[in-house]
Amino acid sequence: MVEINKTRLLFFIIFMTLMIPGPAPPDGLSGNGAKVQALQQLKDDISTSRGVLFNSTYEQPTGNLTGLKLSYQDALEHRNISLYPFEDRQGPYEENQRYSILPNYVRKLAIDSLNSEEETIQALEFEDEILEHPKWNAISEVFGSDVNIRAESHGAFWKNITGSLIGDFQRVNHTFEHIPMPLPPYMKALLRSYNTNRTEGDDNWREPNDASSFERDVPNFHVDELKTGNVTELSGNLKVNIQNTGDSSVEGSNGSVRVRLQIKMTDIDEVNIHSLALSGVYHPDSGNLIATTRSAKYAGSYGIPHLNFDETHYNRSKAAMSDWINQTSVDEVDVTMIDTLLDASLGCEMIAFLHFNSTNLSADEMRMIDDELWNPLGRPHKSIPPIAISSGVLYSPDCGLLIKATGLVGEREEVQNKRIQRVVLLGIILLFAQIIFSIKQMSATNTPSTLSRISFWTIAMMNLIDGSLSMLYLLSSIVFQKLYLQLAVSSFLGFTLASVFEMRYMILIYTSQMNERDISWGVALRGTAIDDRNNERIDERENPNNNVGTEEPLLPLNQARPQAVQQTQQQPRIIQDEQTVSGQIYLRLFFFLIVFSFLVLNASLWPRKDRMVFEYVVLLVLNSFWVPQIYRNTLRGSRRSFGWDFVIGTSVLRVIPIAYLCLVKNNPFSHHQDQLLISLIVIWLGIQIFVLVLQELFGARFFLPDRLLPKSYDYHPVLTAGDLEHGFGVEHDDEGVHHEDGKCKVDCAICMNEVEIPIAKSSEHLTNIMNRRGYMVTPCRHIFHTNCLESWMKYKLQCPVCRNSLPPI
Amino acid sequence: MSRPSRIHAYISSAWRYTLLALQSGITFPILVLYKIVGVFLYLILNRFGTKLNKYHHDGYTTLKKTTPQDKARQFINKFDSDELTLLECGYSQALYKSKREMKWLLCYIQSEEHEDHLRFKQNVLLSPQFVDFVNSHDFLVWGGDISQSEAFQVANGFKVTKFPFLGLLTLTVNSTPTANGVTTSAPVLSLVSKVQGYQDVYKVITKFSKAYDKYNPTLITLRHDHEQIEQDRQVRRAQDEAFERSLNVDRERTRQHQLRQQRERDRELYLKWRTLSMKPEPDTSAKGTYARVAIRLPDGSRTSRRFNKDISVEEIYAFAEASSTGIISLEIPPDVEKPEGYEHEYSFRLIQVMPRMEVSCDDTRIEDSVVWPNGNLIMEEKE
Amino acid sequence: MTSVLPKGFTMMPVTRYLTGFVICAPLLVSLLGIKHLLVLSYDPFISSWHQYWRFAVFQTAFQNESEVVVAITLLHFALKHLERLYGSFRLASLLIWSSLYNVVLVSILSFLVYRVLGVNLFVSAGPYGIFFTLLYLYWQSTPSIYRFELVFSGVPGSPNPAKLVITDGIFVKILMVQLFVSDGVLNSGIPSAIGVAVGALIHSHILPGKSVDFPLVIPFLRRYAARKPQPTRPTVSDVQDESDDERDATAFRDDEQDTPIRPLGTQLLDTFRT
Repeated sequence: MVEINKTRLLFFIIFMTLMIPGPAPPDGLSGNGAKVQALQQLKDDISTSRGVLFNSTYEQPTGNLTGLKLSYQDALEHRNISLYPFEDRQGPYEENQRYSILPNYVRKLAIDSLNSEEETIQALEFEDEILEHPKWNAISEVFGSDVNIRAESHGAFWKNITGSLIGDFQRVNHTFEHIPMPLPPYMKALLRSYNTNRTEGDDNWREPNDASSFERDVPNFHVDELKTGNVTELSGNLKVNIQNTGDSSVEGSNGSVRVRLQIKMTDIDEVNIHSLALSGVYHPDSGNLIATTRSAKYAGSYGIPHLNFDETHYNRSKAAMSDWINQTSVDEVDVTMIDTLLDASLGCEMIAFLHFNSTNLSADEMRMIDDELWNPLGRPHKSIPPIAISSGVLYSPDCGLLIKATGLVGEREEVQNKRIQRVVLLGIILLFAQIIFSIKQMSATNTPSTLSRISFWTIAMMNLIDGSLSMLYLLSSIVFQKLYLQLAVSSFLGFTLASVFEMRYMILIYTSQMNERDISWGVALRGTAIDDRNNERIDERENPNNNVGTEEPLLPLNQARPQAVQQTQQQPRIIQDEQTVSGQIYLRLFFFLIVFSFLVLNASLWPRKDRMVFEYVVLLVLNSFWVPQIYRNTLRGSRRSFGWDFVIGTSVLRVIPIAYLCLVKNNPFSHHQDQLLISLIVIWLGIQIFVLVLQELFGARFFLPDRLLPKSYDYHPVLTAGDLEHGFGVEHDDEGVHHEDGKCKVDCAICMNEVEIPIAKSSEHLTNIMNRRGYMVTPCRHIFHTNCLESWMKYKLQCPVCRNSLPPI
Repeated sequence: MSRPSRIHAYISSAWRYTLLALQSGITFPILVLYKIVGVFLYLILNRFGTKLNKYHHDGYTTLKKTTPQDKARQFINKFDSDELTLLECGYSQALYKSKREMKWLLCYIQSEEHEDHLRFKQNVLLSPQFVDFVNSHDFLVWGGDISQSEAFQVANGFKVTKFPFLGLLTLTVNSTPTANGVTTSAPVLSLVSKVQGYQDVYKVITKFSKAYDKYNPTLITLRHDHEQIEQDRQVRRAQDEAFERSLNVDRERTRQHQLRQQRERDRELYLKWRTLSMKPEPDTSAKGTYARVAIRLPDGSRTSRRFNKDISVEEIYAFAEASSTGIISLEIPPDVEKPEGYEHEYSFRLIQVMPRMEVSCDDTRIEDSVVWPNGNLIMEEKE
Repeated sequence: MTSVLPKGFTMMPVTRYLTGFVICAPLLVSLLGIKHLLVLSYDPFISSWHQYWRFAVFQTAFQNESEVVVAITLLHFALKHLERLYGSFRLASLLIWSSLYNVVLVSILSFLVYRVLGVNLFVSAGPYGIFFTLLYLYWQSTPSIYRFELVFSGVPGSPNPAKLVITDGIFVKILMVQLFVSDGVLNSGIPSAIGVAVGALIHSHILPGKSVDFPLVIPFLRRYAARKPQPTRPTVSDVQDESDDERDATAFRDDEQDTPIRPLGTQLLDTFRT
């Protein structure tokens, strides 16, 4: 029977009870009276709008829709909106600014851009009027710059345009007439009830344009600089993300589908970011897209049919929009819709006209490509062309902005996903390689003496990087849902690497280096000569309570002995067993991981300059994982710790992703090309590795002058005849000692062969280094072959003869 | 002479392969076709044939349960080798036999479809070295094919992972040191060495020899112990037998003694009765109806008596006997009866003096015998 | 005397690699996103688009992991016997031959059915044919160990109860049926039936497979395996043999507990314990 920890179980139960939410109240209402009323009103409003859409025809003007009651001409004439409907606007719908919300010049620009490849929309004759517009010069500066050359023939248009495109925009440097769009009364009431509940100094909530000003007929509102959609810069980056949401087989639509757009306009430095959500209709026969935003003050979606410039497209749009409307019922509207609409009403409304270029493939080929992308079966199809928008017009009726979209290029979403998938697969292969390297390294250093050379912090830093990578992968698997499998696999691999292999290594290193915790830096560099060792033994006998108790007294104390003894007397060291240690390390690591992941995620939202600074600093710090190792080498005087394949292997493997991000153009994560960063990182890593190489070649402390450090124990001293007589591992009255001129033969206790030791006549006599290197002398004055003792020291740092502890090599 | 270049080697091997491919490309379909036709013919003929069989054959099929011995015999027939003698019994019987006779058991399991099967059989199993090895070390050999259920179970029991399989079993003891000295468990038959897969015959022999040398001493000790026990038992049995025998002899002797005594008594009784039942002496007046017989007894005395002519000669004998033993003059109680189960034999002969002729004791009438009308007989002891 | 095959894959490299392949191939195929290339049906793929490579490729990976589980169970409990029955090289050769025959027969069958009957056959992806060939061969060469009766009568001791006599091979047959219908009777049934037919043909030596090595591949493998140098020092396998013998020399034990049950954390930490 497994014993259940009752407290833990109780805790778990309480936790789950709190976390699992109870049944939500219907409509998301939580007892706010004003909201309930507003919701009902909103539902009525939506039903009315739907009715208008269903029943409208091309001849009728745009009906009783919020925000569309005033046409551009009405706005120019400053008509009072509360007098809607106006008598002279009852007639058949005309394609000019008397009936439409678009000014004539905008209409012309839109039609031109929609007709850029083929004349699908017949323009009406009002050229002169337009050219007389006072601001036409400003407009033509931006719009007249490129000449639309209509191609003789073109291939098929895209049937399905799900994807993202990136390009530039240019704004006409003039603010046009603003069409007043007041909030409906129930919204105003709700807002008042909000404002009474909010504190005064709340900056985030700004009151939208006060409606009362309209009724006073004084257009004197203050367009807030930071309003979403109020693009103030003259040019910048434009990113458009399109999702097909409708069914193209709707009767009467002839293939036109409803689409959703996300438009993001930023300036070059990414300081001001304007994000807008639009919905509209895409006509595959002509490659044209008409879309508009929607908010509490502007029910643009219902007015889309009239934004098409002729009757056929009107009918198709109406069919597509009607179909969409039929799929959801008004009763499903809940309170969050109110908040969404209210939030959207803070920004500028935008109407978009975009023309998607045709491809040079035939209609059948396009259909094959489309089917394959929707439902992959392995169909043979031509290579998928990129989506491009050659020209587009963005117009904001209530903020009076006119923006031109140029040169947008992008790929279909599926194609983009495939590219990201390939990158993730490359990441998986890299992770595999890292795992293999780690395993090899771990199996090469599985004895305590080799483990003690390895720096804990190096592995900890690598662990941190891998752990946070794994967390990031996991989070992105939620975001990029199409790539869930690959991201989950790489997250799992990264997790294995970090949590299992590297963590295991860390625990090993930690446990084998635990006894060094209390020893100071200066003390750790020397070994004991035998006299001091004797003293220590006497000391130990006198103080039997000393808990200096690991198996190998690795670095015995030297002149700092008295204070160390005191220390150990004061704090008897508890030998932690492996489980406690591992538990502690796991906790700390996970804590750091979470903090770090959040930091990184947050940083991706910062403006560009801050982001770049963050990137540089973090990457340089993270890539200095060899520095602790160099430090430790210096500390212990060891020449070599990690295997060279591991050093070079992991460094290269960790640089590769950064190199990919920085060097490859058009990488799927939209990281800019940054050769400076990558070269900095490569140089920095190169320096570290170079220092490691030097340490191996010249000894660990080659860069420190001798006088700064206490001397570490020299295993290859010059022996004089006088030393021999003092009993250097040589029994006196025995046969093994042959005193020949300059050489002495002793038996090496490990291999039982003879060791030839060159004897200096006196201490000034120099012998060459080669002879010195053939033998090693321990502090307890036993002599061995170099190879023999070094191999032995790989296992245990104890003298084989007398078990005196040896200083590390 | 220079070696042919590598290119030459490649080209020649490529040429060979293409030739081979061409050959098999042409012959393969024909072969397949031939086989398919053969199968069809076989099926058709078989069906036809069974129809014929139905009219001829009124036989019945008995579900004969195959015993392990039958299966072993089938296997041996298929194995078909003269050098190696396989046991003709099931596996458990082979174990029992090996245990009882304290011999090594070599267990061979084969798989006929294995790629190394023929090679193994030729080069290892039936090779003279191996056969010598087996015979010289006096192994019992049991064989099985993996398609049989018993051999299959045996193979799984031994956790065989590769065929052909040779396993050497013998009796082993577990000796564990305890507080009271080393205790040895009962000897149990266990697998001490196994060879799986094809190996060189010398390797196999070496391996088995190693195991043999390792475990044979215990087996020898066991055998020795066993023999010791057997000898003891035999000695005891001999002793018992000897004892039995002497006992029998004694018993016989007493019995004989008793018999003889009984016989004596019976003889006396018979004589008395016979004497009693002797016919009365006829009167001298009835001339011509009697014979006068004189008998000289072994102690020299002479008696004579007259006998009726119709009486058998046996009467004379009775008289002689009675006279010589002195019963004739005894008073015999009249209720003496003839003893049962007693056959009297006369221990003497009556011989006529002149001419010398024996008068045999039978049913001859006195009238017909030589003593008519007078006789002179001598009683001689029979030797 | 047991009817359970020895545990593990000692001396059975072909089965080991086959198991690894059957498990890893679907994973890889999903990971790389090429699962849709293994689908096979005559109508769009072959007749319109002429993607003949699909015939060669459709046997690579199972489409669902439940089929993988059943296949691995069969491999582990039944088809290991085939490797020791035939020998590793012969089994490898058999695998290649049977996959070839399956491909040929499936293509012929789907072609004929489409042209003559007008029915579009949809063949499930995965090595059904190979498995069923092996299963047929296993079925033919494995004896039954025991029989048991299922008696269907209410009252015990009633005369002439309805009886069902089943051998112990029923467990493998149940799994076979499971694999047969795993993707729908027709979809997975057709390659399975073809596999059984191929197995029958191979078993009765009409088609070469058991006696003839597959050209080029198997001789190459043989040469490669023979090229491994023989060690002169006693190797691990020799020592293992001896210790195996030592272990066998003690009394027979049916199921040995190798290691005691450890919690997961300890298992992870013990992985690299030296």
